[in-house]
Amino acid sequence: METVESLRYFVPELILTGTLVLVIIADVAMKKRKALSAAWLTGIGVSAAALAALANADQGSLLIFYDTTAIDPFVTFFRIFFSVVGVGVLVFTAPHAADDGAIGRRGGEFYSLMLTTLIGAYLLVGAVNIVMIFIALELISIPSYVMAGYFKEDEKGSEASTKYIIYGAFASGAMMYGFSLLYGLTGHTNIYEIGSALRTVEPGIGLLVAVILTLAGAGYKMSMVPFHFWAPDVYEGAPTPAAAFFSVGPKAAGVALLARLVWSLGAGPVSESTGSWFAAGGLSWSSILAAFAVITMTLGNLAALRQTNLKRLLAYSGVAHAGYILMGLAAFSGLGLQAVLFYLVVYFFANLAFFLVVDMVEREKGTVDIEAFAGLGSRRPMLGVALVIVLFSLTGLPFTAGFVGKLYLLSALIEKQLYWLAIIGVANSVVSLWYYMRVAKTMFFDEAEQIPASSTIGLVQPVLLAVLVVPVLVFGLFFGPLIDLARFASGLF
Amino acid sequence: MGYLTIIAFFPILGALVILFTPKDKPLIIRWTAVVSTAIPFAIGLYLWSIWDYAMIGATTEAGFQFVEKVPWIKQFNITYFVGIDGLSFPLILLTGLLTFLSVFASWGIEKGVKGFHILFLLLTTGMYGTFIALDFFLFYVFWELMLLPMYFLIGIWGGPRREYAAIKFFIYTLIGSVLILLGMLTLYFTSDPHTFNMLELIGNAAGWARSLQIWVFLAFYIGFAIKIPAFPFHTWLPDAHVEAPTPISVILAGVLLKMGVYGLLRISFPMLPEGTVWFAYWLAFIGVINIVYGALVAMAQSDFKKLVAYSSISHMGFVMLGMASLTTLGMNGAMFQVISHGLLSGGLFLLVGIIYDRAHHRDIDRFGGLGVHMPRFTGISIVILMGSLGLPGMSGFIGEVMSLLGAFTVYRTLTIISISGLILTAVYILWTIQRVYLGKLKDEYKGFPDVSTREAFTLIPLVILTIIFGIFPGILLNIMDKTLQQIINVIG
Repeated sequence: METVESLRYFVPELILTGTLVLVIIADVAMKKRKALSAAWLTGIGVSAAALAALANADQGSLLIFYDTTAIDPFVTFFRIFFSVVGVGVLVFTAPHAADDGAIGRRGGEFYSLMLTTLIGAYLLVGAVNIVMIFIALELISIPSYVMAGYFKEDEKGSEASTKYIIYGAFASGAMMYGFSLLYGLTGHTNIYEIGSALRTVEPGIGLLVAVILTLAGAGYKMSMVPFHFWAPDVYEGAPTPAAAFFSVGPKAAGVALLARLVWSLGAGPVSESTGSWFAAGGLSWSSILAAFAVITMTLGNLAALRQTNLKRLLAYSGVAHAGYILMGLAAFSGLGLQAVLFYLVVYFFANLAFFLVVDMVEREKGTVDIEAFAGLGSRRPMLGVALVIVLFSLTGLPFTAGFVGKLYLLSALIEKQLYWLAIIGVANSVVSLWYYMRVAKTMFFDEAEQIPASSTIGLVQPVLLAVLVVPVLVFGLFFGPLIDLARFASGLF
Repeated sequence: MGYLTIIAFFPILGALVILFTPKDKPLIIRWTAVVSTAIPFAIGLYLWSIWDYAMIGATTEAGFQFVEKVPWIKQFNITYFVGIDGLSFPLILLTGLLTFLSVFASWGIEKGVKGFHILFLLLTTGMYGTFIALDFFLFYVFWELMLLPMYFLIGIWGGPRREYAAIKFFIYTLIGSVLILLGMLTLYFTSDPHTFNMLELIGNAAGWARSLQIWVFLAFYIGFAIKIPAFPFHTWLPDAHVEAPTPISVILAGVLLKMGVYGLLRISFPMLPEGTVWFAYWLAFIGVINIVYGALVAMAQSDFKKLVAYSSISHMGFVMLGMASLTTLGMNGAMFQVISHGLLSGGLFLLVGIIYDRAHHRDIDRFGGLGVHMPRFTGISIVILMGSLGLPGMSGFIGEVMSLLGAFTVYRTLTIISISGLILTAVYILWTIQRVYLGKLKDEYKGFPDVSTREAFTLIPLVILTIIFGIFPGILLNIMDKTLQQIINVIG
């Protein structure tokens, strides 16, 4: 499809780009409340983009911009997902957005960066051309580096940013190299065409290297081992809302990219959503992904066991969850892909809620060490109970959405008779129980040393917490609609 | 809304009321909890009065009573499907009685009354739900629902090593649960059409390969064995029991341990008949280890509560042995022992709690002559201990003898070995009676108040019931017999 004709399907991205321009102008024009106005503008823009995406949800599957970008239910799903993430994080930042707040003292900068990242994410999920993929990925990465180093005066902030850049550059380079090998092997830049061409390529070490390097770029964004080393330092050094954003936004973008790559390169276009994918190029894609899944979740969980800094704990727990998600891709089936999308949604609610509580405690006590949580259960019972529900969801225990997510992933594995991977997966869940429950234990079993005099939590974040926790419970018991959504999103490709 | 739904969810309703009751009104909270456990129990008793003894259950929907079936998650073919038969009904009644009594046994808890009762009522819902669920998914949700309250009940209101005990309990049980989950999904994908309906799965069983049945049986077995707890998965139990507050120990021993047995009989046996036959000998073998090993370790304990905990392990061994015989007699004996042990171990933990409240220690060797200071307490104690010992005329005797007789026809050697467990049980119980209630008078226990009315109220029903069931075992056997016979028929 040609450029002008394509624009019709590109409205959400255009809205976001327009909003970005407005945010930058407003930042210059406003004297006071720069951050707040930027946040409002961003919120309106992101919501409008979601509505635009929703309005065109039923347009089927097509390729635009000279076949470099796909528009299909998968893209629609992620467009809306990223908008929800965006709004969630915006509300999250509210207490920091005052003129003297952690984020607000630099004006609207944070929001323009976040908006740019979101545009990148929007583009990435639809990108089907290797050049387009690379550009979109960099569009996510570069503003992320700046957000990670937002507290540039702070040593940890600079460290976070530097680490992020170095690993990011390495991963992008590796991915680009992988792409160049794929191009060399097949002579195409469209991943679907590469995928079809790969079916006739003799399997060999070159193809294996190309595939693994290609996975690196996506793996880096979703903090897949061994591309995860940046995560703990970035989560620790970045502003908490930024870390929360990284843990759900760019991570989901990485998952989407990986799913698309596996789908197009490994399977080629398939019409039926529940059918199995065959392995192109003679490579056992399932085994490669399963291997990554095993090391990612195991390492993530084991490393999380020893963390006492909650942000680092969240980083490693995020690594572990990336591993679970990889299990779904390793199932290499329609059911597996549905499970991945389902899991992303429930992970978003629980993880953002966890970050939110961490942020509230950090604002109240000035530290995110686990000891800051002591006595939280008696000091603020509702907060404690909400966090326990979230922790249960992250562990994957029933009557929370996290359980259904895990169940879905395991279903996909067992349907494909990958029992060994399922056993490793559940063993990891048991390990994760230990560190999640340590947080619960600290909140409810340990006594607080001192009770802070006055409340500084405000109202916005608790309301957001409630908005996030309710779906965790509701989707734990009535998850039918979410299954339909996942089926819709993975339906056409 | 049917009877069973009300039974299962009424406690949660009570928990919600408590949630909105001010913290400084503990009495309202306690009485709300009393009502929230009394009503399900009363409904259970009412259902007994209209119970149809002719209905079989176990394998066909038509055989279940008070069935409710509502589609839940259509995409995965999950239904809200509940119903009871002769296997689950006695356990419902047992749960009703023990939760009701436990609320009174919780009167002494002063710290966090509100949270305690909310969690306790959640636990109650989990227990009822597990016993009524006929959809595997629903069963699993209820099964796991019990974990959360239990973890916090032990971890917050427990003894000095409560944190360790709580997380140990949690991790052990979760390991078991996830294995059950994997087995459940395997059966789901093996059945055609895919279903979580337990009865349809049982109907599918004939077509399943033997190797599949064995693997899934093992996964289920480990999950259920951890709950029972069967050797070598029993090590969480002494810790959890010792650290848990009295009412929670009562529930743990009285109801939660029975979940494992229930799971095996409701799910593993009829769903995986070939796996069951393959494993039956080993189940009996492990049962015998439980009996002898549990009794030996119990004998070596100086902590009264630990002694009771190990005696539970020993007594559950009889259940496993009786079940493994796959005979009508043995199975009936096993289920009878389940109910009997629920009453007796509940009673024992209440007794230990009462002493601990007064003496603030549980060291058997430091007691002595309590019979003089607390005559009524001693009287009740000796009846319950004798029931535990298996004295004829009380329920423990019936359960053990039936289990042993059933097993004797099948596993002669194992049964003979397990008889030694009976002797060892007599030894540790009589020795305990001697050290705690008889023997030298000790001045430090002078002036201990005898059992209060509230304490007596929690104990007397248990004493009366063990005697009634000991003299008229038919009351229970009539309910259970047909269902258990049907399970044996399925195994063939």
